[in-house]
Amino acid sequence: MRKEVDMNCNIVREKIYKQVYTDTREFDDELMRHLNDCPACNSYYKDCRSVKKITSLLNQKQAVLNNPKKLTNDILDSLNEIKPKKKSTGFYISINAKRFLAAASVCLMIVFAYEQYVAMEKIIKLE
Amino acid sequence: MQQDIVNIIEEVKSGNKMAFKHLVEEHQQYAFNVAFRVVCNEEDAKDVVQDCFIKIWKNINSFNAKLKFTTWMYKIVINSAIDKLRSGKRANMINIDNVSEKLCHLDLNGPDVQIENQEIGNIISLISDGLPEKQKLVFVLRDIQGFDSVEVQNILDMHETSVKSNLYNARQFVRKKLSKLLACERRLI
Ligand SMILES: [Zn+2]
Repeated sequence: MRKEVDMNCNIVREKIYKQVYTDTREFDDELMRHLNDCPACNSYYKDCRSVKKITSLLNQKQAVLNNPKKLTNDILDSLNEIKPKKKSTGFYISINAKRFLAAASVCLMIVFAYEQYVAMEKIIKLE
Repeated sequence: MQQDIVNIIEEVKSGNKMAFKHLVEEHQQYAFNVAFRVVCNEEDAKDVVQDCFIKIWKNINSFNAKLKFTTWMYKIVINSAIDKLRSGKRANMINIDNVSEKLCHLDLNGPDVQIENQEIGNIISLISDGLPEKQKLVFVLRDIQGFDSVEVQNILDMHETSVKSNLYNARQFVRKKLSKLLACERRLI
């Protein structure tokens, strides 16, 4: 018997939550009768509404920023030694580095090929 | 408007400080508002905003134009605010009795409730302190800041179901907490 009452209260509270927070119409005669007969659910309903009213009030009240100019200046002052990170810098450096390495390796190949040629010439002459 | 922000960001990417100044002036109030709702006091919120814009300046080249600039900015605000909360240095401690008293006597049905910045911070702090970090962030962004579910998912990089369950748990936590605090009277109903 007790379990049935708890189950009923849980369903009622689900409906109360939806009614308070989603603006859907969940209340019917049966639920209203339950609220009249069940002090616990009645309190639950009142507390949910209190929370909703307080949060709605806080929602309407903006926290006002006093002296916004000073905050703007403080922010700008703190930027003096900072520069925005250049997202692409690393990419360009790596491209340049690759080009440099490619050119260097071509030069080395030419030097080695020339030395090889000179060495081969000497060997041929010796023979 | 969207094209304006794209142009400004392109200028900032090329190192234009005047464009960055414009970006700060246009967005610092929004950043402050979100920061304040997480850290709950003005000084810490200003530190968070300053830290946020320094990170934006440093990392503007990694900004993905497919994302809304404000979503990216709020992500940075939230990360800086989390760092601030974790550092454990709070600019001021709240007096729970005073804030509870204020809450008990708020006439939420009145035409226009006047609340100072610090009172807003104290109330948010009172109802959300003790929440696990994720629950607190979802609760603050969704219920107190008023962002929609998709925006919260994007800012916190969370799945829809995760946002829903964290929000549900947070609301239950806050309900139980308020229930004890407001046991003094039922004027809020
Ligand atoms: Zn019940």
